[in-house]
Order: sequence, then C-alpha cells, then structure tokens
Amino acid sequence: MRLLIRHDRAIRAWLRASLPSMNDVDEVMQEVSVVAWRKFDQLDDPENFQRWVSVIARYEILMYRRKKARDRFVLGKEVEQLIAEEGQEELKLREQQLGALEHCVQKLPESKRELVMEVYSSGQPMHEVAKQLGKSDAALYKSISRVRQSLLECVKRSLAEGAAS
Amino acid sequence: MRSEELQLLEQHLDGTLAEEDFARLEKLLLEDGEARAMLRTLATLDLGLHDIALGQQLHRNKELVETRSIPPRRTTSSSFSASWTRSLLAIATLAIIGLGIALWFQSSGSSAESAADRNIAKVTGTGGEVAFTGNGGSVTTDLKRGTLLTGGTIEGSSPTSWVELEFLDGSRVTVAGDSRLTFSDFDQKVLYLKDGSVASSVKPQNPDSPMLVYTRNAMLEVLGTEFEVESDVESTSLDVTEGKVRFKRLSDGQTVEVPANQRVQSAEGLKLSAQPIPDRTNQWEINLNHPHGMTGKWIPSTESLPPRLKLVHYWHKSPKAGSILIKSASMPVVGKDNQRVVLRPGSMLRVRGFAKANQKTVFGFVVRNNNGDFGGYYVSSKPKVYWMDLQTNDESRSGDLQSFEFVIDADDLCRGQDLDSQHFASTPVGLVADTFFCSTPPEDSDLEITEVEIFNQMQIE
Repeated sequence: MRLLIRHDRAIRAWLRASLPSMNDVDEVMQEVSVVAWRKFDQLDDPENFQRWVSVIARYEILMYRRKKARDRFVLGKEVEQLIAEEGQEELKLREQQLGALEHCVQKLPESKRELVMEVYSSGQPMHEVAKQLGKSDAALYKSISRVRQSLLECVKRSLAEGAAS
Repeated sequence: MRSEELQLLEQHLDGTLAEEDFARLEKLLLEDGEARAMLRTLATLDLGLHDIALGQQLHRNKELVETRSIPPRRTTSSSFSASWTRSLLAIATLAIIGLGIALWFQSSGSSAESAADRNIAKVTGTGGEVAFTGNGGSVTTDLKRGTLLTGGTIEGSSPTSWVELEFLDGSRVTVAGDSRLTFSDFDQKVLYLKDGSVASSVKPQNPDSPMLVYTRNAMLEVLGTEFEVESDVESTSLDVTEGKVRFKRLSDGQTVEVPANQRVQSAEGLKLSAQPIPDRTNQWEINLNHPHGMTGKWIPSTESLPPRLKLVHYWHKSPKAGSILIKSASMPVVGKDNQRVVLRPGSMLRVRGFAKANQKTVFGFVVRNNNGDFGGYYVSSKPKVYWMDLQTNDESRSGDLQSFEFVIDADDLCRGQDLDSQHFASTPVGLVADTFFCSTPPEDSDLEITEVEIFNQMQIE
C-alpha cells in the first residue's frame, strides 16, 4: 500500500493522458490498485514497483478502452498506444512536474489561484462553473487557459533550474 | 506548437472538444510526437490541479470542523495560513488513498461531534430523484457530482434514480432504483441496506476493520472486492465479482465465504451455500402471479382478466423540468434460474396490457455493466417502433381501456437524457437488464401491464 501511495500520482498523471476524464482515471486506478494488491506477491523487487505497476496499468487501460470503444472521444488504438508507451518511460518526469506544480500554484496571484481552484474542485463541466461564476463560457475558457500557460511556464522553469543546480 | 493545436489538447482534456474537431486531434496526436508530449504534460497539470483543489476543499472542511471544536482564539489568520500551507503541501503529496488515510488519522482524536460532521464521501455521479438525509436530519435533493457528504441515508425514489458515492479511500458504492442505504465511516465503513440494491467496488480495507454491510436479514464482511447485493424484507442476494465476501445469515448465525463469480441467497429455509453465478440468458418474461420485487399496484387475476400491475405516482427529476410527478411501475429482470439477463443484438422487448388510446407512455430498462455497476437507463422516447398498436377488440376492459401490444428492438432504446455520453454507452445492447420500468404522465393515466418479455428477434421472423 505504501509503495502504491508513493507512486500513485505519477501513475494517475500518466493514465490521465490516455483517458478522457478524471472519473475514468479514478475508475482505472481503482482496478490497478485491486490487481496490484492481489498480485503483490508476484513482485520480485520493490525497486521495480513502478515498472511493475505500470504494466498492470497498461493492461487496465486496454480493458477500459475496449469497454468504452463505442463512446465518442475515445482515442484510436494506435494513438492511445503511442501516448501510453511514451508516457510509461516518463513517470519520473511526471513526479517532478507534479512537485513543481505545487510551488507554482502557490506563486499564482490570489485571484487566479482562487479561480483555478474553483474550476478544479467543482467536479462540474466548465460551462456549469461559468454559469455559477456569472461568466461566459468563452471568457472562462480563456482565463483558465492563460492560468495553465503560466503554470506550464513556471513548471518548465522550475525543472530547468532544478536540473542546472 | 501552435496555439490552436494547444487549444485542441486543452479542450480534449476539459471534455469540451467539438465532435467535428476530434478527427483533427487524433491526426495531430498520431503524427506529432511534440503534441503527444504536450498532452502528457497538460494531463499532468490537470491531474495535479484536481488533487490540489480536492486537498484544499477537504482541508477547508476539516478547518470548519476544527473551528467548532477548539476555542476561537486559536483560529487566527496567521495560524490558519501557516496551517493551510503545511497541510496543503502534505495533502497534495499524497494521492486520493493517502488523503483518506491522512485525514482519518488527523481527525481520529477529535470529538464525537466533529467526527459525525466530517465529510466521508463524495458524489461522483447521480441522476433521477435522490434524497440525502445527513447528520442532524437535514435533507437535500440537490445532489451533484462533487457534492461532499457526511454519513447519512441515501434514498432513490424512482426506478431510474441512482447515485454513486466515493469514500475517501477510493471505495465506491452505487445505489440504484428504489433503494435506501445508510452509510457511515468512523473507524470502519458500515452500510445499512434497507431496501433495494447496491453495487460496490471496495479498496483493500484494514483486516481489523472490514467494511460491513447490513441488510434486514444478513451481514456482509468485505475486505476489498467487487460485489452486488440486493435486499428486501424476505431475503438478501449477493453476487461477488472479484475477491471474497463473508456472508452471515442473521436469523441463525450461519456464515459462508463467497468467492469471485459465486452467489449466495439468504432466504429463510434455504440451505446457505455459495453457488456459481448461473450462466446468462437473453430471455425473460414476468410472472405476475408472483409480484416479487415489483413497484406499482398489483391487482390479482379475476375470472376474465389476468393479474395486472398498475402504475402509481412517483417523483421524477427531469433535466429540463426539474422534479415532476409521473406514474410508474417497475419490475426486476431475472431469468428463470435467477440468471442475469443480457440484452444482445436482436433482443426485443414486448409489453402487453391495457391502456387508453394515445396514452403517452415510456418503456425502458435500467441496466448494469457486466461487473454489476450501474450502467444507466434506456427508454423508448424516440424509437423506431416496430409495432405499437392500441386495439379495440374483444378484450376491451371497462371504460375506455383497450388492450395493447408494444414491441421494440433493444438497440432502439435511447440513453436517458440526463446521462452523459462519456460514461454511459449509447445503447443498452451488451449490458445486463436489471429493471424494466414503464412511466406515463400523472394525469389521466390508467395503464395496466399484464405481460412483459425479452425475446430474440429471430423468433418472430
């Protein structure tokens, strides 16, 4: 369980790129946790845990994809494979990006931080949040997109500074 | 990377991508490695922001609880800010599982009152008319995705009501149909299923405090598994999809371990033993002589008429009109030997009964996914109707009621209006039929059902 908690966020970030929504990520991660728990005695070396659990996750993505294949907005098999395979090699980078993101969120001006927290904590579609905030859909998308851009820049900068020091 | 390409990636992650842009996104991701790398980075950002926002929300709830249980002088703005930052960083470092565990340990020392006020679950999906009675007896029917709940009672009040809850450790519980579930999570999860059905996917629990599920006549001990349980006044039925559940019949204390793909039923007088879940079938017909598990008003047979099920009033939450009164009846779909009934290509629904001419009527199914989760509901709102005919013939009932027969291909049933396409398939074919229901507007409706069946189209050709 401790190993799973330690690597949970990097794996979920990797899953997120392959799955259409956070709910899908939670659903697949739940399967991954149960399978990892059940097959834990097959893990030969705890050092290999991330690699081992990512193989389980790859399989669970495939199963999930099969289940949802008829839905709209499910990426084609070839595209999904490319995203997942490339991402499997970047779990360390995911951890670093998530770590940097926490600091970057703290650096945001208060109004922007509140806006982004409002959108991400609501669990509702953006257009619903826009309605609640009394903004137009387009205005909210634009604001959130700008905040993301500044967070992206900040994360990139933090990792580059970390690598240089 | 061009800004319009970046916008496509963001829209894909936000779920706001227009259908016509999807092909463009797929092409971009297939051909451009830089775009794929950017998608992974944006996905990381998306997940990280969700986690931070959730951590902040949980922290605020915890602050509210603490504010009630400690003297006000301790909640100065500086201590709030320092505590907020520390906790946020700590919480954000852990995942959802960690969040649950951390919050539990942080709050385990607080008073009984604050423990009772603590949010223990989040609504991750809901539809139809659902009421939640929380701590202190407050009642809300305004549940939405993301709503945080203390322990309490969830009550679905129509066949198409459903709500999915996620506990802090990621365990999920789905309550569907006309069901009533009370839940708590102080030092262990305890559920009381008064009526109806619950599907659960439970994360591994501490062996010393397994999740407990009580029904009127049984108790289940769960350590981490997937299962589906149905209960009424007479019996409890448990199907285990994954893992193992210990099942105890309360009347005589007998217990049985139920492994994956097995089922147990607790009706009194039956030998308590786990049996393999029977093979699925694609055929079903109701037996109205035994109106077990049905909702509606049952009318026994008379010399000239068979037994009938009459529609009764229900509240229904419509996405457009809000809560509206309808008339409805429902019945569980269970095969001859308690088999699950799967809707396959070519599956047809046939309903017979008595109704007024031009009676506006909706027929449909609540379905489950193959693992027992709620799979949505599907109705005959805009179908290609093979045959619908209100006939005036010898079988005319008293007044203006006439016999009718309605036949529809299961593939022509439409997904419920309030169900989103990302989580619910466009057709019920391939899914397990759980409940058949029929609804009409409340006024001027005297519809009675006499026969319902699922058969394969080949049989009538």
